[in-house]
Amino acid sequence: MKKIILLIIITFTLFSCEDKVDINLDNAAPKLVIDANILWNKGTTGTTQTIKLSTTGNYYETTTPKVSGAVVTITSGSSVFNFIETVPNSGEYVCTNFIPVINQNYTLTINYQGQTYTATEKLLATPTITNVEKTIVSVFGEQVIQLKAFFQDNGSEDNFYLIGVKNPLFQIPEYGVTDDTFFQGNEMFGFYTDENLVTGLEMKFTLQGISSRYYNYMNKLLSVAGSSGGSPFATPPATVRGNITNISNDANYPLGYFHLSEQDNKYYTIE
Amino acid sequence: MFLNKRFLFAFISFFFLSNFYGQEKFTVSGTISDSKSNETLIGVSIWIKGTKSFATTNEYGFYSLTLPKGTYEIAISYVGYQNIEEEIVLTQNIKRNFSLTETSQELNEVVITEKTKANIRKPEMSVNKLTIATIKQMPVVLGEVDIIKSILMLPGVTNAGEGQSGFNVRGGGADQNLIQLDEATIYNSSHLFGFFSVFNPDAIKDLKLYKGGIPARFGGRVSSVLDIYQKDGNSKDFHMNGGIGLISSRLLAEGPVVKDKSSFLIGGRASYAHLFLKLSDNNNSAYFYDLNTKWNYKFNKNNSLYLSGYFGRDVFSIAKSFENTYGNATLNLRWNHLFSDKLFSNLSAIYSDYYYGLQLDFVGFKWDSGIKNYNLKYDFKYYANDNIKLNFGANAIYYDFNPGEIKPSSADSSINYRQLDKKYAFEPSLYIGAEQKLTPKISTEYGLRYSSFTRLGSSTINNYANNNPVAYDEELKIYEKATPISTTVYGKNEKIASYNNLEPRFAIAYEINKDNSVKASYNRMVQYLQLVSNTASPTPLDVWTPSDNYIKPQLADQYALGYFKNFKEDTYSLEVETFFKKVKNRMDYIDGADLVANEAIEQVILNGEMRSYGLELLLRKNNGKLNGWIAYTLSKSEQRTPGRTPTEVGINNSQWYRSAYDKLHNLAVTASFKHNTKWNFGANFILQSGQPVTYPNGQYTYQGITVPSYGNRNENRLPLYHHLDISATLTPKQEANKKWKGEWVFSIYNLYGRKNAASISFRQNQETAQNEAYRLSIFGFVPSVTYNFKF
Repeated sequence: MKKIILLIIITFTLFSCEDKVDINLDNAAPKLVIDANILWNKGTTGTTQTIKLSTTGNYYETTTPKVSGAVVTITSGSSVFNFIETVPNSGEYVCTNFIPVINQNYTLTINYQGQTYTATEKLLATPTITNVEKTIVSVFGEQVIQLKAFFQDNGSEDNFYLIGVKNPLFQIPEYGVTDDTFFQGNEMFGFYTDENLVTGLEMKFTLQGISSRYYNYMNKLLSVAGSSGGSPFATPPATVRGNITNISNDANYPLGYFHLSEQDNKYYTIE
Repeated sequence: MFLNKRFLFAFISFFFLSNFYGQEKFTVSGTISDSKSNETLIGVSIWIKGTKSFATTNEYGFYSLTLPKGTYEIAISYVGYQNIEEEIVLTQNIKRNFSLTETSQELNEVVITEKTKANIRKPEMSVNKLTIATIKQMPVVLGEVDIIKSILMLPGVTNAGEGQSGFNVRGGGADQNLIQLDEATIYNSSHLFGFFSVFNPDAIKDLKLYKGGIPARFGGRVSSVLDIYQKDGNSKDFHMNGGIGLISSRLLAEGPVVKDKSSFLIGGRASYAHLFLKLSDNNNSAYFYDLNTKWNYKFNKNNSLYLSGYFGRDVFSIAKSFENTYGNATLNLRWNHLFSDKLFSNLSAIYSDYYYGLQLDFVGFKWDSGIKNYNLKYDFKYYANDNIKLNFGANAIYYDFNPGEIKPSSADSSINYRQLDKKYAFEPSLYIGAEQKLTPKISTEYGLRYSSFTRLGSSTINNYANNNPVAYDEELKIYEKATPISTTVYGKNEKIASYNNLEPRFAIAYEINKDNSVKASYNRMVQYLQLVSNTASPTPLDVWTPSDNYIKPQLADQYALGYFKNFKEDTYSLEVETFFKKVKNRMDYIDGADLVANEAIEQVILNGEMRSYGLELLLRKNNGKLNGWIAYTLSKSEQRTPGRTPTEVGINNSQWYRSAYDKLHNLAVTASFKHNTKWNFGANFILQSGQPVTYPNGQYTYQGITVPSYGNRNENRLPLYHHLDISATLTPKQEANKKWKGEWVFSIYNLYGRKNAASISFRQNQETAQNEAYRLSIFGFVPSVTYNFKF
């Protein structure tokens, strides 16, 4: 459905022009941001995992402040996994002895500046990306390459997926979420197109099985990150709350999410 | 319920009781039309000189005046037409039809003596009338005469900006306007996502916008009524007219079927295909077209039949893999019958529908959705005497909603077929209203509408724990969709939910003297259909949904107070109004709500409220070579969605926030200058506060993505919006015997090329990784030329 909005924007652009402007923005007080993604890449042991801590910062800065000095642990039953900031001031907390188990519950606990942040989630399974197909279509008189990465949906349950694409032309990865509402039990695909795609580029597709809650979170997050407000077709943007709570001070909630899943990676060179 | 009916009965008796007093009286009645085409004229004033008696023609050109036996001087005046004065001897009931001659037909006359002025005596307020002649003089973008854009020049009316659909009246949503074309509801008033409106100006006779003081005969939307009437067609001679523009071409034919008895009108308009797509590849197209038709037959002086229809579509097709079609269609059969000189009636059977279709071949997906309604209406006007006029009637509408049918578009598509649950509803209503002169100085208009709405089966309705379709996560303080605990299956025509409402309407005018008056009004309006949309202006794929057990009807109360003045012998008029409006049950959406193809929309909706208030000024120069108006509005529009329990955060922390339609300042100036018979000039200027938006107040990084963070909703505004447009119309001198009349319209939109922001977006520069703000502006300096002809 985003495509319709895309079309509206296409018709707009034929009449319109876009230019860079200076807009003064307010600066809110910093908030803790927890990027706790435990991803078990298929075919690996998954023992090395990283959790990133930072804070919100000025919108026009190129980086955001990193957070050091936090105590980060994940527990599962009687097992305790400690995450240590090995490179000082990097805000990256690493664990090298993590044990991933599908459908097992894990609890994240972070102590920082006298406040305790916590969340509990299950590690979810992920299907395999079976193949990637290329088609060429004509859009506005130009030949554009479209890629589809196929995978098999499990017909016995409602599933949610996060699909990532790393296009070597861009610095930042691109993500999309989907569910099996219209595809229950069928072969599904992730769809990617960009006008700059050319033969020879090596694309990396990633796939994660996710919970419905994380699907909602990423859906909101991606729409906020993508449109960023001000468009008459955009929904009013709001700060997206994740699944981590501050048990010491409810009002001072952190941003980010604690998520665990298998991940399948597929490399594809455009032919 | 029982109480309500008794109240209604008492109300009706009150009308008739106030009517019994004797004196020998007779009625003069008839129809007023254009002398050249027999086109009936709406809103013509009929005055009895030396008295306070007056009447205006109704939507079908009919008037009726009842006066004591005697001889009178009758005076008739109408904008753009010559006045008529005539003596009538009233010793029995008489029929008198009048034909008015257009002033512009007198070739040598330069100065038009238009008789527009502020309405002093009638309690009617918050109403703006525009004739098609006024609309056609306004400069417009790309030369496309646009009815919706023209009403944006009126006080209290704004929209989301260039290329945006719909309009906002007194801080209300675009979905809160009832738009009627020949009494049939139009669900989407825009072509090309809002660049142009769906009304072909050649086929339109008249329009009236009710912003408040809405008469009891209208219902169904809480903000305003835009009542548009199509021409009937010339029943004297055959004529054609049309125009060739940069965007579209128009052609309209009208003429008698049986001379002076029956006429037809057929008008079409089509944009050029590939309009927006300058390309070599012929697989792409984007275009719109519409067709207006009308036929009428006058059986005798007491019976006339009208058949009118509209059909319009927008079509987009890209590389055959994306196809999008949408538009309205209406069909309306009306029967005017005069029971007596005093009792006018109109029976209408109306069908209207809105269709939205989408085909995405690269996903293998075909989508159809729409709304259909069948409307039966019987309206009466009883011209009791010159002090009281009654309007009453009944109306029943049946709705058929198709929220979506999803089909695989080809055999190898992996899409599963699915029909989203169809929805049905029935909305009957009754109304009675009166226009009454209480004393020579005080006139009132009051009425009561009783409306009822029932959502009908067949349908399967979800049930939720605690009857709560939106769950609240106390821990994370977020709203989430609740999971249904069971479902209830309703059979065909079985009642699912039902609402009944009484809607009182009241207006009063006090005439200080013949040039000054004060007026006040109150109206309650109920809206049973909700547009599922959380964008600032509606998009074609927004879905209408009926009120049901979870979605409550919107209830609005509006109060308005006004001062009206004509001065310098009616050359100038001033209208000042202030209003306060409150709407209950305004839907708001939880964060991240996905509205498209959402079968359980109740899971993402919270009930909120809305309020708006403001001051409107309208200063007009009504005649002379230079005429036009200045409209200024100072207003606020806010909404609030509190938590349902004290522990819930609500939306925007339960605080009032600016609605997307909040425009603090709105100034519109329109002027027309008639230089001579050859040249006519026009200018428009608009200046308004920027649209409320939410800018980021910080950023953070998650999974390599830069994410903006936000404070409260709509705390920022886009930059100030303004533009100046000018036009010049050249009517070449024509030879007396030639039937062909042509005119050239040259116009420039946005003369000084202001880059008005349609949006400000924030994103990362891909090369420098620096976050930046970008302004999207739509129309810069746009010159255009249109040629119109008539023969």
